[in-house]
Amino acid sequence: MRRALVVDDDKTILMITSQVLKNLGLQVETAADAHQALRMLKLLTFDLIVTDANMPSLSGFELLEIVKRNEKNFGSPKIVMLTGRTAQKDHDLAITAGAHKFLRKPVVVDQLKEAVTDLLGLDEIRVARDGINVSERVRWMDAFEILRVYEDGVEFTAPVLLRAGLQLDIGSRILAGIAPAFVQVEVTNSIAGRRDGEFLISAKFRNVQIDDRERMAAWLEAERKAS
Amino acid sequence: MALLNSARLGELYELGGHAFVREIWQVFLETTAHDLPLLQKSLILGDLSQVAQIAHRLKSASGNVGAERMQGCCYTLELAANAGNDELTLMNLCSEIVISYHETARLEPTKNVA
Repeated sequence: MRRALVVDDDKTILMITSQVLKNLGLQVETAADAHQALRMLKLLTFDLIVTDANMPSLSGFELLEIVKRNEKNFGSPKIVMLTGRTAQKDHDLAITAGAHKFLRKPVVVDQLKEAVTDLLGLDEIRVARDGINVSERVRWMDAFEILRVYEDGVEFTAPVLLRAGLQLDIGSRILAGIAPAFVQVEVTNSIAGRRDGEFLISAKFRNVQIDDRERMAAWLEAERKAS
Repeated sequence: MALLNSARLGELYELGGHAFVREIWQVFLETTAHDLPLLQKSLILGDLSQVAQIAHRLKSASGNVGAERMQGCCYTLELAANAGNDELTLMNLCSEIVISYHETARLEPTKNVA
């Protein structure tokens, strides 16, 4: 799974950006400032860094320069820079420093998705409102780690990483196809792409009704063991 | 200007449902409750650079969760502090932020999702 690092001193930005990236199927780490980011870069390799431009102590521009100077140690992650300022000067500085994309705050979710999809070559395919159907019973690889059933039990978001070679039919309901006895769901939109021999599907669900949470949990557990 | 931008809340809902909206809302309330006294203190001390910096941070946080009126007030204060406006003007703008924050904090974000 590809890994992303999000750096910002604003917790709400960290949460939104992380959620967008998780929904795209990325593994996400966060850092509250550039110093913490550098410590993480020494420990882990990242495919993507999304960083605020203006942070106290060490700015996003300075972080970028350090990363660029240390490609041997840090690799060559794609870099998206975020800033609340609109000045052309900041944009120019970011691009000169080596940022691949420059986005304004507040983060517009679709713009961030588009930038990341483009940079990481997720080969996005946008699918109609009625979503995606998996035409055979599938075993999820990472879905169980990502699947989040919210406390009120009526909705969840599930980016699903599937095995390669599955036949995907567009036009029905992904979860209804997998667990019809337990779940009724309306898929609002989905993104699918092929990546490293696997299909990645990120779908958003609405009006989810879990008829029997205990049976659902047992079914999930059985599927986890089977896969 | 509306207190809340329901389209923004709708965007957050699309990202992670009601639970995510509630979670980020709570973070917004807590960080703002922490920052507002710092803002007032900086104003009293006449540290306009710090005032502008905190106003900028509050603008970002409020904008992220769709607290539109508060975001506008923060933006005005940030500009005024950077321009070196007089203390009374800055105090009034700061009061507007505090009022808009308390009005916003009373709302239930999940009921305002577009």
